Amino acid sequence: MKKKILIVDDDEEICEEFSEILRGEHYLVETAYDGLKAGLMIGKGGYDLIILDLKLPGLSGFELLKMIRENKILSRVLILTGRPLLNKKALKELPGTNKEEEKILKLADGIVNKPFDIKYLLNKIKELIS
Amino acid sequence: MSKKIKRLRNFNAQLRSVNEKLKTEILHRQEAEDNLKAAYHRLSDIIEFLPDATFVIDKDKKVIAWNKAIEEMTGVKKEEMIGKGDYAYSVPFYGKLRPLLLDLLTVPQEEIEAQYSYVKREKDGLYAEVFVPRIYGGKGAFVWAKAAPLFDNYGQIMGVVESIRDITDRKEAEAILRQDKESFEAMNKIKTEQLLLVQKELTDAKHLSEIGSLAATVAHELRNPLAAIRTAAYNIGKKSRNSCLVSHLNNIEKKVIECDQTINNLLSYSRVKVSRFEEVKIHAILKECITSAQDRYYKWKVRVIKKCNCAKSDNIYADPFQMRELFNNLLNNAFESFPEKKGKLVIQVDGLGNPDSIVISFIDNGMGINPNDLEKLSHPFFTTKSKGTGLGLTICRQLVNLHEGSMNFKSEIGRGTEVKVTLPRERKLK
Repeated sequence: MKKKILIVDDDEEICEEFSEILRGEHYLVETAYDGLKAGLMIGKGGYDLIILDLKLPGLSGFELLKMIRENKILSRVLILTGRPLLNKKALKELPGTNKEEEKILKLADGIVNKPFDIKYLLNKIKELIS
Repeated sequence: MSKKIKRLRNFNAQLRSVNEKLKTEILHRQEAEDNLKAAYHRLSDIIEFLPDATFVIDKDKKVIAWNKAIEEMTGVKKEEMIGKGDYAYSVPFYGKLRPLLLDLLTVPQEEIEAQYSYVKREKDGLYAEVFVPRIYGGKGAFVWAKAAPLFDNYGQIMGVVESIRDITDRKEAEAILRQDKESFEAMNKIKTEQLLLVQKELTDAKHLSEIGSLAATVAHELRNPLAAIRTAAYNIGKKSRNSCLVSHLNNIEKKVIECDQTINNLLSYSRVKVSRFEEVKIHAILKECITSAQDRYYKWKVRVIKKCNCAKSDNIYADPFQMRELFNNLLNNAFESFPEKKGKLVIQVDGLGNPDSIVISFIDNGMGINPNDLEKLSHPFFTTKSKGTGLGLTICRQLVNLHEGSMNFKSEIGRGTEVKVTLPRERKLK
């Protein structure tokens, strides 16, 4: 059975280009450009993986992630961000994240920096949902 | 007869009266003389015990007083000096016969000035400051001298008094003060320079914090479109069967990575640095970085040789991310040193026989660095390249400092550059 992935990013071009790549890798892909719409979609459930940007209109990635975990939604979550993140370990040094956000970020299954290396990202996704 | 007797008696009485008067007169005179003697003794005593060295000459320039203080100053006793003339009094001071200050009272100012470093004529006498070489057993001393004429009742000069004070202590104090002033000024100068430096650092810091917030914004705003570009290029590659497109797409990919590197440099330069130390496989990291550099410059004909003078299992305590950043920057610089896109790069790790640190050298045979530029290498924003932020080596220096290591450059124009990074194996506990 095909795995189902939701891409949440306000950058429509990223959503468009990336979902095409993922479809090519035989995933079922849906996209959301804002946090509210994403929240509704996630609420219905059924995604194996949610790829989440942090800066979003409506609800932020942090809020969505918190919501996902609090409602025990069984999706893996991969953060995809243009913020200066290096990896989970290095979070403390990052400007723009407060203590609360840091705590939330630890709930994610992975963090990948934009502009991502596509092969690396595909491997990461495989790792998470195969 | 009786007349004669009468006259005689009269005469006798007169004589007696005269005699009485004489007796009184003698008594008066004796009294006056005693007073004079007493006055003289008082004066002598006063002169004798004056704290300043003092002597007096009469109008024939013969010494008539030579006090205790001057005995101590010159080592010449009063008995040897009293009554002497012909400038004999100058010998204890100068070792030769010459006029002293008190001989100059009537001489014009110009002639005096020739002999004394400082002379001032006032209503009641002359003041002078001079170094006297022979006093205090030949040690010599700076003295302050005052000479004044003595007048008799009729206003005629009957002698001259000169008084001499040792001012060596004061002179020394002055010298110390002057020295203190000089050293204070020197210190002041240093402090001012330090202040200027701190000020510059502050300006830099302000600059940095501005760059920091700007960089964070720019990073976020640029990374999204970069991600889209990269993904789109990947899709073109997938869809197109046209093999001519591959190199163009690779170029896009390469430029995206370059942009990202620039963003990272800006970010890591402006970020407050903390190192997270852990045991790292330094060889593995170095190898990984070399491979990725070779990938970045895959078109270039650069022979990369890795030499190792230590155990491959040699681990050090360091921050693995910062080590990557350090090596990536140094490797980029090394590659950029080949204007012809070809050359030889030797990377050498030395650790044998050194339990404290390992040394990693990056030796290229590229274009080399201008000696004038060598010292500016770690200055933020200094660059000789037409592109680049000029932050690479600043970051390297910061990272090496965070690891309490050192980084040295040796370079010769046209021959190449050697960058030597020394890193301690263990984290030193402060």
